[in-house]
Amino acid sequence: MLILKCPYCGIEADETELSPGGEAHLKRYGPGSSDEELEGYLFSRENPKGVHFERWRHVYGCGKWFHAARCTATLEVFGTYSAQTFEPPKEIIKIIKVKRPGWKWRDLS
Amino acid sequence: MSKRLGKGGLLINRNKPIKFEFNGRKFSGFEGDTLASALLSNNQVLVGRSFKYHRPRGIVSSGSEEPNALVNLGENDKFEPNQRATTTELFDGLKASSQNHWPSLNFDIGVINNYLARFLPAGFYYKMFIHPRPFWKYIYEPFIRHSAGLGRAPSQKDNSKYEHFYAFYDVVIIGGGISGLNAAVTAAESGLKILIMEQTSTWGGRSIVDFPNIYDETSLEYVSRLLSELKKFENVTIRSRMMGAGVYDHGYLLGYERLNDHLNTDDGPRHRLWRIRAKQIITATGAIERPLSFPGNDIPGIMLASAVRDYAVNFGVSSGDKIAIYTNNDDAYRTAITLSGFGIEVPVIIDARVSGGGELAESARALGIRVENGKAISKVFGKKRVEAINICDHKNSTKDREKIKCDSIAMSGGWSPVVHLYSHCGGKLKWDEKLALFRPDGYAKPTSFDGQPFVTAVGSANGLLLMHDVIQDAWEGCLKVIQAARGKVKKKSPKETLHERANAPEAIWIAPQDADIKKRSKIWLDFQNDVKVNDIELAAREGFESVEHAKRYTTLGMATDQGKLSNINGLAILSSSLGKEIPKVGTTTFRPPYTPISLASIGGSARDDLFQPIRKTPMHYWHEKNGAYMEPVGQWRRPFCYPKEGETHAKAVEREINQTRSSLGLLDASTLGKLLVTGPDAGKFLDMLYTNLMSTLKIGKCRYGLMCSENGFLIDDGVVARIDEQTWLCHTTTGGAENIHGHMEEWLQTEWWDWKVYVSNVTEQYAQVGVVGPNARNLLEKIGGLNVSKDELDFMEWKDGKLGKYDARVFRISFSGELSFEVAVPASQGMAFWNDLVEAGEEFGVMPYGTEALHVMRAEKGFIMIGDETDGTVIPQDLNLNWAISKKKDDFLGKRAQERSFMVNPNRWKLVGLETLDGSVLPDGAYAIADGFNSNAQKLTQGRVTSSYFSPTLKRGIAMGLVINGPSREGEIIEFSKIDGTIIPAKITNPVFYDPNGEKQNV
Amino acid sequence: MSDQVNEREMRSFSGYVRVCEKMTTGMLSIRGDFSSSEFKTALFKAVGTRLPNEKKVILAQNNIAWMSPDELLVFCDYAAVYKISKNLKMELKGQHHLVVNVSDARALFEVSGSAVREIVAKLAPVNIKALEIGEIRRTRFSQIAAAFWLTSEANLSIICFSSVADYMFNLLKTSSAQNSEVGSF
Repeated sequence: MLILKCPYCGIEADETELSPGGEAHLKRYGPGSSDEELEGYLFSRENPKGVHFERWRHVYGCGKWFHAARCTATLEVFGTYSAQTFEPPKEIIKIIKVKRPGWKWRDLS
Repeated sequence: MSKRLGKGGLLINRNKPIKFEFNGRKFSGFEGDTLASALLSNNQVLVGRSFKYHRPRGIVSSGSEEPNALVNLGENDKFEPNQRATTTELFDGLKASSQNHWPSLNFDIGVINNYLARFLPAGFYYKMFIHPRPFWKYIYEPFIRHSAGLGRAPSQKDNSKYEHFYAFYDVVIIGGGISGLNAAVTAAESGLKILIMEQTSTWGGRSIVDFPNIYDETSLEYVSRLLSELKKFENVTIRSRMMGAGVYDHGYLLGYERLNDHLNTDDGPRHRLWRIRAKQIITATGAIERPLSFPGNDIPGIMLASAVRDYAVNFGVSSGDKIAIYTNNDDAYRTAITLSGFGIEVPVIIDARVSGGGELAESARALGIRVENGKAISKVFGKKRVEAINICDHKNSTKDREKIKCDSIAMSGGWSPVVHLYSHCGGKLKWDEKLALFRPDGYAKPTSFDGQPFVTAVGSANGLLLMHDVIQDAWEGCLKVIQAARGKVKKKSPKETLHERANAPEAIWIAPQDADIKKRSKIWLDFQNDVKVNDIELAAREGFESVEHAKRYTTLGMATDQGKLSNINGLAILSSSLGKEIPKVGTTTFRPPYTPISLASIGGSARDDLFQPIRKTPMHYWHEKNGAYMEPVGQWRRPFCYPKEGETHAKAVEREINQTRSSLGLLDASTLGKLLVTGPDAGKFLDMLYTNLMSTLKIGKCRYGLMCSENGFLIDDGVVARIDEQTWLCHTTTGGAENIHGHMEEWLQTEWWDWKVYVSNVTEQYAQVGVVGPNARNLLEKIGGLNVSKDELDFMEWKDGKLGKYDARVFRISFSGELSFEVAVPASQGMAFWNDLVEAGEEFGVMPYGTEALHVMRAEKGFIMIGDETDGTVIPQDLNLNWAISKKKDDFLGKRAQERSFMVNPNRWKLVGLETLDGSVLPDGAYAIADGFNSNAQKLTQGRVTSSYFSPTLKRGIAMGLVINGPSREGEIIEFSKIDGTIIPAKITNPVFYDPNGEKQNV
Repeated sequence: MSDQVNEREMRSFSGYVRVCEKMTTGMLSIRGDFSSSEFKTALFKAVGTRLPNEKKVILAQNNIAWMSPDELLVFCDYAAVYKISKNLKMELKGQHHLVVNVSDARALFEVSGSAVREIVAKLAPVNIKALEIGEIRRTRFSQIAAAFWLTSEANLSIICFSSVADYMFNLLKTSSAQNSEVGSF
């Protein structure tokens, strides 16, 4: 039963107030994209034991989508941040580097 | 015999006798008794039968670890099986009965399994019942089901009340013994918000029984002083009869509070499940005594030494007249000393250690009690009750030395810290060789969201068994916890040094050490599930080397006590059979709950009316009053039809359709989703969401639209109305409103966050009524106001204005093929508006119709229904809806995915109409079979039925379905298979069965 | 807007707190850019209230609640909704905004008594002890979405969707039944 802090309203929300939205920072591929790009966009997902970036929605609260960086093995939360971004903020990357040396996620490390 | 003593009993009130029944016999006990102590006081030692061999079972313990004394408790709506007599507080009128025997507890036919024991080894069922296969279904399974399970399932509904409670604390302390109370007092001074819970009704844990004095007070005084100190703190919550049931991620903790199990009352909730978030958790859960493994150790009358003491001191009850003690540690000597203080004969203390015990042993000797060092029990005489024992040397020779008479044995195999709650969320353990116990590894505690430890075990739960160490550890452990929870730390160390000295226990896993196979097959590990030493050894021989596999193969620790007594002894046997060290074998996983909690407490108040939220339209109660048969649509309830007295649903649907098509029908369409989309970029946004163009829609007009997922599949449909320059009102399906709202927000917030669009779900702001049929316009004109003539309000247009006294928005749209208006009024006006329509419509024979008539009428018109024609694998092109897919747009959600080779395959299953040759109704979901077989030798298929109804309009069965190349095969006859294996031929037709040119709706 | 035609009856229940459904309250949902001074001015002109701080309810003639970083809920007389909404739309003209009447789409309950916090604790996963008076919390009450705030230590207001008003009423009724007090927590 996770607790994640909604970066929009500051509520430390109970998992039952949230709804999960899968992997974060997917790039949309629309018309004109190759089959490989579309496949990657629709179906290929990371499945890490360790650092992961996810989307969540504060659905029983302010209704805003946000991002969370957490460890899938220990459930440690490194931080939550805005949904309006293409990559994790530098501060959170810095925290992860300290806490999980040698981590990798897609092309981040 | 076991009996009530003339003196003693700290917890009982001898002035308050209590009557209760066990197996129909009337007994009496005292206020403060548990069911177990009261039964023992009445010489009722035999309380049940074991699961597999139906062997007689007696009370073993005095607490929640009890494996044997499981009873059916209560009657009728209060009936509950598998309740532990040791934790059931006695109340007046309590009724209990024993379990797992037939015809009676004393004479049980099932005991025959006992004599077949050597034919029923571990894994017997797995090996025996595999072949022949058909036997499983008809012979083995019914037989096993008949004999499976302890107790009976209740036959009546439980009418007690249950509830949840959400609470947040800085520090939660689980356990109200000496370590828990000391930790709580230390924590209280920190100013943090503290909860301390105790699973029983009394405080102090084992200390009251085991330690007459603590420092310069009696233990009773000491405990009540700590408790009253705690009560002074406003930041401390104290709850008894509340068990820490489970520790979960991020400090989530379940507390199981039993409010009136000890009372004969229905007032208030019976159980309250506390759903707690704790920054820090201290488990001060104490330790559980282990049984010793010796031949015949399961015979009634053999109990844990600590339990024998508890019954004497707390309840003034002795487990026998002559109680032999058998131990591998110093602690059990307390039992001898206690019993002797009550004048109960202790014929012998058998200490497995050659070197014997320390101070306590000296005291016992000084009382004149016979002590035998380096000895073991080699045989127990008696079947339903201990009669005598044989003793022999523990090591080397197993030759019987002496027979000693006794009617009870108090055994102690050492102590196991209660590490369950510490371990639930990943806390690691380490093996303490000296004390022969698993204890929490202080360096591998469970961690929380911040990566920091959040569960700390203190006192005996942390592997400390001496009083001074326990108090010291509670204090030290608590200081660290306070720091972690950012409280103020006051350094006030506990008083100095209690004098205590104990000799180390000696790990004894089988006694006597060299017991032969005959003896080993009489040594019980799991009393409830009948797992013996030789079963574990067999599992090891057969290759079940992992402790988790051995557990499942033998069922060790799988009983309702979850191995609280048996697990450590069992895994020690397993490790010695495998020649491995105990820590290498490890423990099985500790899973919540600590002891079973009621299912009803997990449900809380979510039952009956509150089982789930039921959504109601403003006209809901009118439908109910007017005989509607309601069906669930998502969480809504909608009228399926309005059967008149004696009318079948099918006939009612027919009547509703005929009347609507011939004159006038009314539909409560309020559940339809309504999403208001507004902003400078709203048109652009809707063009991305719908497959067709919405930005070009003129103000005042409506357009039917389709929405797809990025995967290309159709997810929702509905009519979109352009309200003003920047505003559109999007209708969704009844079930789709929340999802589509979420879908819109998702794209707006996470992809196109620079687009200026706001979405609001206004579904419930309106009551919406479908006014349908040739007389629809006449009815609205009769109500008066807004001009709804063809010229003023054409098909697919909408208008705002007054209808009668109502604030209406009228959409001229049709899902039935008839002249039809959908009228939205503010929800609070809905009921009155509906009433006026019903009244004014009387002259037209107005008839409310339900969802089934709606479905049939739309199918007659060939309109698709999300969830019938679509199932998450269907694209709009499959439904011949290409006309609603814009070719002008570069992009919309799902467009790229619909270009995939599989989606553009010309051989996809496509929408057609289907007419059976004999006019009958095709079964919904039936498959059309094709020639040939697939690689699994199953017939190939070429289509399936997606909707199928009897059409009262056409007076025959009609269906829609998806068929390979369907539309190009019109006129062809294909065969559908029914569940009974017969075939129905059906002709492929155009899906529009009724008024193909739309003349009816366009008037 | 015409006279409201209301068929639903006012209901209440007295357990160890008192539960009462407040019918016919006007509610306006507003979305806009809180950082824009034009938005704040428009709000003040049309509603007569300043922009509430994050997660706060301004208790005034027209209560106004912060619902999310771009959403407000205004409470007013049922009959005043139309006028306020018209004025607001006029003031916000030219700015990206949404103003919508949700009076009939929401149900409002008032709970009063000394143990109102306890009632919340039975239903919502919220640290109710830490909630300040005038602070709004959107959450779930058992299985439905809800928002609530304390107007005093003994008065609690709760809103939910009107289709589940019965469910909410029954939840509150069951939770406040006599003899189900939790006491100190």
